[in-house]
Amino acid sequence: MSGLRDSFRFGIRNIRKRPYRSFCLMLAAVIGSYALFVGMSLKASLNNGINRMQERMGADLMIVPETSEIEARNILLTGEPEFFYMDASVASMAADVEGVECSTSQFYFTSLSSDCCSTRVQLIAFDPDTDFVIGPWISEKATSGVSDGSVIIGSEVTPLSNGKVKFYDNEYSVAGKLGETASGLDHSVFMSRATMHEILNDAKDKGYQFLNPEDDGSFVSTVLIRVNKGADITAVEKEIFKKASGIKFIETDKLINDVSLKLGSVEKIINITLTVLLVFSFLTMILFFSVIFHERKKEFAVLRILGTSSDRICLFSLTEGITVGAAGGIAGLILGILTVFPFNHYIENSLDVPYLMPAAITVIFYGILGVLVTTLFGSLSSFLSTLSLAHAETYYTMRAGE
Amino acid sequence: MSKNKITGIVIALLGLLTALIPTVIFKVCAAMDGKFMKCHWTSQVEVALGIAVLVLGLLIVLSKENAAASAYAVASAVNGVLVILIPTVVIGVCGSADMPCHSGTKPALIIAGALIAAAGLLNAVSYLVSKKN
Repeated sequence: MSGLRDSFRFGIRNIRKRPYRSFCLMLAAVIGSYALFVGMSLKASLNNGINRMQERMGADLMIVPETSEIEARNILLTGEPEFFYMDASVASMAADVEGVECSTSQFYFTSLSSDCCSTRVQLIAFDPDTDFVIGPWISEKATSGVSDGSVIIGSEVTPLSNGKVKFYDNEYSVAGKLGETASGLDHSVFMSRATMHEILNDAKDKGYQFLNPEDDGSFVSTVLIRVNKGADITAVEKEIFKKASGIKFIETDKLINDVSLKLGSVEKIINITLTVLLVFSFLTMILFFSVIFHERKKEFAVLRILGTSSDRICLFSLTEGITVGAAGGIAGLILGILTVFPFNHYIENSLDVPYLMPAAITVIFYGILGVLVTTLFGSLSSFLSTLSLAHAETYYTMRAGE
Repeated sequence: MSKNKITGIVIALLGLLTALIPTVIFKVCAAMDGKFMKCHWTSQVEVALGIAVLVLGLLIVLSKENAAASAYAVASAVNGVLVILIPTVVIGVCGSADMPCHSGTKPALIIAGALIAAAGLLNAVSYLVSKKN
């Protein structure tokens, strides 16, 4: 036990005596641990995001105006505020088509950039009687139901300091906040048709007209459909298309697949970067330890002459390797934490794909894994570098260069 | 290299970083309809604070007296705290978490400010400890 303690002391003394050399070694461990923690956390957040988005979609099919497919995708994926309208008769007609289990309509419009939260947000009016998309997750988080004059906000919408949200100079109380969906709906505000009518009137008074408020009941932005189990979606689409013109279908499965493809390429880039950085970290540590121990050949020879066994010398260098690897790993983990948590929203906005941080336990696991891997790198590289020196003849080592 | 020189260089670099964060690295929001938002004024103050910290860092490097170096370090620490307070309490940034000033500039300035304050305080504490011994 005291032997181990002595080895540890000897290793620490060596590290402190040569701070620049130790700093360079530690830097390699910092890079390895940082790459592992950040890379794994990003990958887990992307997978978590797409899974949550899939869970929350609810509908199998979306009907939107023919010319507004891109805008509708933007609302769902990025929360980019848009508005488009089609005749409300599409909603009632779609409900009667064979194979449709349930359908509901929504009405999209937007706030002003100077209103709530500094940016424009997507405003969505829905029908609580037929809704099956928003309802299930409003009840999870709402403090009360969405009554007229109050709204439900998405998880990324920040209310004013008085807890209300302001649209077109009028304030509305917040009835609840939704859970995170990792989709554009996190940036949206939901309300009843009556509240929508009120806001549209305010908008008209301010000179912003989406539709004449008198006509708002005759228009919808989208019709969301859930088909019966086992029903053929294409057949349902064909049937609806026969009865309505100027419409376009967005299948949510295809939408998720498109996002998954985009996600796949982001994940590939993360995997390649992570592998390159880990290999770089390990090779740099091996190289550094080999050069350092080669320079210290005579120091080891003196230790051998003084009676230190070669196993003990291996233990000394192993302690150095473990200490450098662990310290660098912890420093890398701290840097990683300072990147992943404070810049969570920035990363999400930059990647432009569903992004949701995984559970705390998963993140802690990645942190521990990063430190363990760099500690292993440090111990392996120091051990391998000493192994060759430990078997060298002490006499020849001391006389080398004479 | 002495401890003072290392601390001075670190503080000077962090000062430079503070000035670059809102202007180059995590640029604050552009003017909307000709109106500047809160983050613009935060950026202006942070650039000034960053330059002040940069000069203090250089003064620490050039100081021959340990007492003078630690006095500059304390001044840097105070500026570091101000770097944190400007985007969080004194002026602030845009309200929405999606705005670049909220999601990028603010956390970066908080981290830079915390590091400046920590480096300055560590230098001052180490001077006091060495004086006591």
